[in-house]
Amino acid sequence: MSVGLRKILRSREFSLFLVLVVLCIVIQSRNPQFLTATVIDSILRNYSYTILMATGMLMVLLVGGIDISVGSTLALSGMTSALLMRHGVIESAFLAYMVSLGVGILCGLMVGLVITKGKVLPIIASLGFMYVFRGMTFFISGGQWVGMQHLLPEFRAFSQGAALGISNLLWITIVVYILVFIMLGWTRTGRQIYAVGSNPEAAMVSGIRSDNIKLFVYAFNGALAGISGAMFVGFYASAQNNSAMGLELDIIAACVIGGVSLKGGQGTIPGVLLGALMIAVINRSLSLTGIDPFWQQALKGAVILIAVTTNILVQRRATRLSLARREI
Amino acid sequence: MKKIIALLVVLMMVLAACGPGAAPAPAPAAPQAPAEGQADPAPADGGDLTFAIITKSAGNPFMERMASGFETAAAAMGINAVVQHPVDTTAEAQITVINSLVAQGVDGIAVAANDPNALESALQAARDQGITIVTLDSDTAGSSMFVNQAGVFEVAQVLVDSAYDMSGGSGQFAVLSATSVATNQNAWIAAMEEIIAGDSRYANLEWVTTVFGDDELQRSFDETQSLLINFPELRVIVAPTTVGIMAAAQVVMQQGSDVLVAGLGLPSEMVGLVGDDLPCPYMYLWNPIELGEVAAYALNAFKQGDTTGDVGQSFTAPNGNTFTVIAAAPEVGIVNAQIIVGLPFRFDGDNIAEWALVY
Amino acid sequence: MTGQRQKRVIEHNPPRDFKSRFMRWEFLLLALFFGVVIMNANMSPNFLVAHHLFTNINTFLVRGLVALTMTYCLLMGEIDLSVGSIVVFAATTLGIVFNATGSVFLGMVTALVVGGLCGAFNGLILIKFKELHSMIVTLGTMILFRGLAERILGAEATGGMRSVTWFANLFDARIGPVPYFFIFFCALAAAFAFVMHRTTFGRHMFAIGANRTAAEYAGINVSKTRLKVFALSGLICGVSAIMFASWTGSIRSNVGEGYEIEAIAMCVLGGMSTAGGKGSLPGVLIAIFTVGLLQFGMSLMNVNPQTVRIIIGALLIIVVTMQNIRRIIGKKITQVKA
Repeated sequence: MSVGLRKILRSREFSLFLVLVVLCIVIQSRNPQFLTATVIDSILRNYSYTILMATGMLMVLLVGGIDISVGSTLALSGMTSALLMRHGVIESAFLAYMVSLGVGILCGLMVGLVITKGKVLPIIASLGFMYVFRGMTFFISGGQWVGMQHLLPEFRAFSQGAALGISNLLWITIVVYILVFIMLGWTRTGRQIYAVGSNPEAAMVSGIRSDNIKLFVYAFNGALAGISGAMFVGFYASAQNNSAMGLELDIIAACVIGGVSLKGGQGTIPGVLLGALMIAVINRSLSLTGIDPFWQQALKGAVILIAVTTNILVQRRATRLSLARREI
Repeated sequence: MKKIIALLVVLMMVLAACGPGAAPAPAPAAPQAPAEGQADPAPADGGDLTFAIITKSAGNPFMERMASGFETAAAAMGINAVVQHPVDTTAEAQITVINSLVAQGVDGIAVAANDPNALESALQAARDQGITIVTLDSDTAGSSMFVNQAGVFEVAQVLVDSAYDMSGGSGQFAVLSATSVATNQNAWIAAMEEIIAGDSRYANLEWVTTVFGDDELQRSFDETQSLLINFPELRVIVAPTTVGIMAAAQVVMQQGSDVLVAGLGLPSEMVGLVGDDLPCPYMYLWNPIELGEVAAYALNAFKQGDTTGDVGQSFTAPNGNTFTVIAAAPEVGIVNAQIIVGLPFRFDGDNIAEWALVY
Repeated sequence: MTGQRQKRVIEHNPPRDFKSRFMRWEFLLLALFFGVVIMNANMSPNFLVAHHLFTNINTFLVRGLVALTMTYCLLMGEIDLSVGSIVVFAATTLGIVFNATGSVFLGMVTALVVGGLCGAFNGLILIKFKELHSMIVTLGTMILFRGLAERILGAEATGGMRSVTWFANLFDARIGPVPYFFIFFCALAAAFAFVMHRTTFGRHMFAIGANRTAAEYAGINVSKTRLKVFALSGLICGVSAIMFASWTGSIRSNVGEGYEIEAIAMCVLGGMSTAGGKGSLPGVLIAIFTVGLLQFGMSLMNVNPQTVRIIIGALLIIVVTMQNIRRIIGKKITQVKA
């Protein structure tokens, strides 16, 4: 066995992958239609923005922060472009996406500025902004929704459409994953992000401007939430005030399941991808198993607990094995 | 600077003496009117009335329009109107709002209850202060009258008939509801069961399952897709909730499925989904604006002595309609004497565009 | 959870700095609290009416109970997202037992036991799997416990316990305008403050929060302390469930939704650091009353609750930022002088 392969087999990601495979097998045994193109496509479509936003949260967690305002940012940015479409200001799908992106970046920058310049703990700042952004969504929409009739057909068509058999939303997600993967692994910014999170003092001594890095990370996270806002509105063809409430918990859970440390400096893109897929599969598939709807929530909680604890057990065993081997 | 710091320290010492420590009791004792309160009588009548409406939650277009109807009708009668949206769709949030309205000393409250029992003691406290209570949209114990948008059985009947008609009289249908604790949806579903069991006409309809989309787009999408996968023979999805019907129709349209969608939806949100060649051939609802208006009329009728809420009485609203109080229907969750605003109204391809401008 | 480790180290070394910061924090909060009271009293003549005021205070104290235990969790650098779900689960069992046996006392005991067990369950998973952060574990149990309540209740509600007069009086009864529940809450808060600031157990919590490994080396039984705190958290949620049942007399599976976020917001406004090892219970208490009375005052003025949320969110950010800016300026001045 080559060293590389052995390393992969021992990695946290691999054990997580095993847990995911087992989960899929269990669901497949309950419903043979689970592993078909239709269902897989629907999982990836419905959860494309959850999977997407997990990368932003990964970077935030890497620098030792947290951002629980992302669900509100999504709602605010989606509502903004939807309202502008209703009033005829935005006349192209591209512009709608750009407006949402812009709003998202602004939101992220605000959170980042308060955290870096105001020296406020990330959870406090983002908790405050969670309320503020959500309230603003209600405020600008006047408590109303923006329905399908007011959204540009082109905008809906793009968000619901597909290219080369893969949904457009998934394409966005794939591109972002590749970008972030490259950035974290092979660029200076990427290394600095890890440095800031794993050892802030050392990072400071080595001349990294950690405030700038953090600001960038929060803005990037906001940007992803912003794009997701447009994706959400286009896909569901409706902008509502209470969209994506509680989404932040799903996203943080995806990251943590994927092995990202809440203390900063630790976490990888493949891990987050697996964690996000796990959340998507759990959320989406319970209704496929034909289990009584009143059992589903309890089961979802149990599955999350079992998944994270099993992963730890597999992980411990792997560590023990490699230690034993080293002794020989 | 030193002086300021010193000053701050002194101030803090003073505050620390009374504040932190083992038991800081930051209870602002009410120096002004400690004895008053319970005895606060209903404000003297004479034109200057204030009515309040409590919706189920903020950000729901149906509720927003109901509130606006209430405001308009009150204004037309020269009555001040207060709109209060609770922060969550819970009884708890509504009780907080009721307490605050009691403290403000309003004259009448119309509430769309989030729970059939939990509001009772708060509403009782309000009545003790001479506040008139009516319920609308969803009933609860402790109110004087329920302003019923449309009878529960009438709604259930049109839902069952939609399923019957759209499926061609036989085949599978499923129900996509809101949350499992949504009182109205539960009442309609229970009534649907009763209707289907009681009439052999529906013997060939197979009700395969009831699922809950929690009135969230994502969850409703997931549930609808699962219905389509789990029940390939499915003919109709009945969604008696505005979010559910929209999500179901979207999924059906996006997937090009030939399942039809029936239920209760807001016209303004359903344009492009309702029509002859669209996922939802027709749907039903009642006018939320009118519902809010009638609630204001009912409150005023109590205040003017036109009614006491007893069964058999009737009163004429300023818009010329006459409402007759009929008996409660506890078996479907209506515990108070009620007036019925109208029948479920049918929206189809011909009239939806027109109604979308209204609500 | 946060990258501000290095700042914490600085603050911990000179204890004086820490103390003055802590004092200043509470000063600011108290000023804010009186600001809210004065503003409310000016804006609405109905605010300072003892009866109504206490009616309202009673309602937010049901959630305030949860904030008390959240303080302990945050102090240890932990977080408990499952509190709202434990409240609904415990309240559900209370209702079920009451309806099955007719004894509301038995129901209360069940609620406390179930609450405590749920909390202990959280604690057990956490000490068996030390690698896991409490956020992910309690997120799982948050879904699990509410799911169980959903399974038990289905689409129904359980209730009727307010027909037992003494039980309804737990929430309703008053001496003059002051509810017994308010007095109970104050006593409980005093006990919580005493334990946190004056006992060995409290010092252990501070130590674990500041540095878990160091605390372990110092001979503190970290696992035991964590287990106790989480079990206590569950137990207090059981108390909150009892008060909720006594208040509304009807329990559905959406009871207690969002308690966790509200409790966390009150705690951080009260000066608790989510990184652990810092904070004071009096601060949290002032924050509970500030937020509660602010909401009441806004509601009296019929402000839209979403606007109130904007205000609370902005308040959170502004107060904390102001606090930090003052400290930064203060530091610069001392640097210049030196």
